[in-house]
Amino acid sequence: MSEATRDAARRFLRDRWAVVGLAFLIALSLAALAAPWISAHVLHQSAFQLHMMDRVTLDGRSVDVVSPDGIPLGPNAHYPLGADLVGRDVLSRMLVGARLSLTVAALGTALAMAVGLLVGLLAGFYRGWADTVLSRFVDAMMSIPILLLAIALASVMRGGGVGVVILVLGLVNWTYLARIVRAEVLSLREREFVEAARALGASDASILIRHLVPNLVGSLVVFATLSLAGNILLESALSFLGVGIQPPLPSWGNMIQEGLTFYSVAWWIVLFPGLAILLTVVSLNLVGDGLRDALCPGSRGGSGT
Amino acid sequence: MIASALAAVALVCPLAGCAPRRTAIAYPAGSEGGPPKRGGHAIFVREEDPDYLDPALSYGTYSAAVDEALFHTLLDYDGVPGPAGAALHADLAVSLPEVREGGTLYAFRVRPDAKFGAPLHRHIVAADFKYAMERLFKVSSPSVAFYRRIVGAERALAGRDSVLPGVIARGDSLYFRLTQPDPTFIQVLSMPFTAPIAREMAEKYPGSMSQHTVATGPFQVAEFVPRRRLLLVRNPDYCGTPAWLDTFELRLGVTTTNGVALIRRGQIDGGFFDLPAADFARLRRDPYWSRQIDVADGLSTDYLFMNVRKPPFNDVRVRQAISWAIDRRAVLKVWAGKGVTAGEFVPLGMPGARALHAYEGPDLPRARRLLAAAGYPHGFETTLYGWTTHPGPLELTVIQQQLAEVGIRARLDLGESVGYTSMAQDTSRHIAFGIYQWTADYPDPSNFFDTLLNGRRIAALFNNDLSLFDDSHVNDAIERAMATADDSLRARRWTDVDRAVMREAPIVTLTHPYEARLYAPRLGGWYRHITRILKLEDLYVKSAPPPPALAAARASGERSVTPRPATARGTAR
Repeated sequence: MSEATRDAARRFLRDRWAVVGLAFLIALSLAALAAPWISAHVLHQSAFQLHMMDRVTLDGRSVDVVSPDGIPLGPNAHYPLGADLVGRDVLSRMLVGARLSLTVAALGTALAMAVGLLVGLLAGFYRGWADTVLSRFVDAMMSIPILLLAIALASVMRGGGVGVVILVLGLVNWTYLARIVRAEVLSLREREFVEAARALGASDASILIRHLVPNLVGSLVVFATLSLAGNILLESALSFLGVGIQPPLPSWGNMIQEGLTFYSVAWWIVLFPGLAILLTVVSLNLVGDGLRDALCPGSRGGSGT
Repeated sequence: MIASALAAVALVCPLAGCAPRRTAIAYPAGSEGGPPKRGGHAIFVREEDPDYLDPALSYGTYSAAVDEALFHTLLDYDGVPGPAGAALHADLAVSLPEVREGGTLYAFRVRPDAKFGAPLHRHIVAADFKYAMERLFKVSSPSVAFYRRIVGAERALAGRDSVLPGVIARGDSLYFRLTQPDPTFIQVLSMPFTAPIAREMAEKYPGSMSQHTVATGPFQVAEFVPRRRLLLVRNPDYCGTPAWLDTFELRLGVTTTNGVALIRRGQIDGGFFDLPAADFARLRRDPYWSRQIDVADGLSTDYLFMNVRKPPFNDVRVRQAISWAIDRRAVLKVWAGKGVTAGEFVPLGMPGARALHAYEGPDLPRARRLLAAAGYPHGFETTLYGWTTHPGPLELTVIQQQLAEVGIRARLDLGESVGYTSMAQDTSRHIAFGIYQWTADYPDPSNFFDTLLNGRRIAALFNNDLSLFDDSHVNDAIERAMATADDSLRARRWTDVDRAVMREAPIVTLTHPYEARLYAPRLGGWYRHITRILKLEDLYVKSAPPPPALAAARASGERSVTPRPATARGTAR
């Protein structure tokens, strides 16, 4: 480990809130990874099995999991976080939903990073007409509201499943990174080490990959954490609107969507997935802030005196 | 537009008639109940605007309540709840029609006191009805298929003619000549589509009749501000029984959730919406509000359709297997228990309907046997289409799980409801398997079988036979039942058609969902009419104790707001 990396790690660990956020994310990721085993053996039932007509024994009484007028059981010994409107275990679905929400958000972020990095590198490095064309395209993309664009894309590609949601998240989020990368590359390409590489006969590809990209790692990591949070929210919004993850696959967004009209009588269906989104996004933002301070100490906002 | 609406208010409002704009409703002290009294102001809410205020074009379920109060026609249904409401009486006609020439000629006389409301105030003549009927075809009204048996209608439908020789107007005498007898004709004639239209207005305002309504019913429009409010006032020119209320206000852009809260806080009288399942479950247990919920058979059937021309659904055994695989009691829970399971296509509240209890199950072994016999011992994969409107996703999730139990792996593809419906009605889209719900336009089984399963009515666009079911025996049986005048024989024939449909299973009937609506305790005259969501002219204000939330607010000293009579802008006519 280099001295710079050790310094960055020390700075990160000094930020207590960032460490708390990281701990939460690690715990959540482990629970999500273990969801198939936890759901099958520890919790009441799997996330997909319906129990509309099931009955369970509570306090010596046999009761319907979903009452004849459609109200499910709240948190109890059989269902730690309650049952949903069709009799499924909310905790199981939340864990399976975590797998899906986190995976979709992560892959969407990776796609956005790939596209954003490529466009930013090309625009910043070559300048001239390439920069003009790419930058105007980025401006045009950014002028369209993200949610509107995402809904339009998801509607056009309807029926494509989880892959479409990942594609949509990637396609609507890359523009921010492209701008950041372009600005940094415009500055880096004038630095001495790039001049030296060029003087030694290095090709454009070599300069881009071996000299510029490593200097962008800090920005990329910060973007990744913050974008991950945004993508979790966007996926939730798409699923909430019915154009994201399709039932019966659970995502935190579509769980809220399903339970929304019942919040007054079955609050647990909405509250727990909502809390999961809140805590995850807050944790990602804390970790993102911590990484930004650790990797790019000069970038902290403030009065700058 | 608004200026002309205000001018209309000035013209039509009696001095103390119009209510002010944004006021809460009043709960005057007094003994509860009593006979209806004329007067008062009722406030309802609705999220969306009415689709049209034009009788030729409006076809929205909730727009109908407004249109039916504005546009009366020759006949109207009796204002009583339940099956008795299916009886018709003369409205703008002098009497029920004289049926001649073996049921192919209907003769009416228009009432001598029938008049258009403001701004025309002129006598309605038979030619106004003829003009309205011909206009239906000119403006491509969604209703035209109902009137295709009128002589000349097929030519008008094909765009080859703009007049209907089968509608004959002579002074106050009006005749409808049909190509063949049709006992349901009297019912389709009672729909607001046939309300008279003043030619001078329609020609002066082509394409904007919704902003220039001329009422023929007990109410007329005083003000319509899209996305804000629609104010109706009693129409003094209406020749039938006048409305009890002076004014009826529909506030627009109010969500269902807010609507329920406003009713409970005593600020409005009701809303044009089905009570959400959660509110229904909660309020039905509330001793005060449970009395204010109207649960009624809305004559609906919720069903799955299967394209009988595409494999695997072209095999009747596959369709029957799906019918046996569904647990309809579980599906009903998704509807908050509002309704009954459907073992027949025709809702049980329909006159002449009979419970058949087909596919009462689920019977999973039988479903698996049928699938195996059809060559699908391990089931198959398919896509099940539907809508995202509640409870669509939940209902389809339950069905998806039940189909999985017999090996049918259905992927869900859900879309927004209007887009989904037009996609399903477009035969070129070839949706093989989806969900649909139909609510009766008029109380006769023909509105289900002829409209939804008569193969001779399959069209490329706006097609309602979503299964593309075209069985000549069933088609003949439908048309034979439609042409039967004797009620009991007709009912038996419809039952036979229903049995044949259940046997052939082009559809899987799920439930007959009921409707639930919430009304303020001071409002009287609400009931679910067999074909009308609400008859606005029957509503009245009565003395009643205020809701608990309003009483608590009053006790804590909050100032209540009482409607004040509006200042008249002009002299009463």
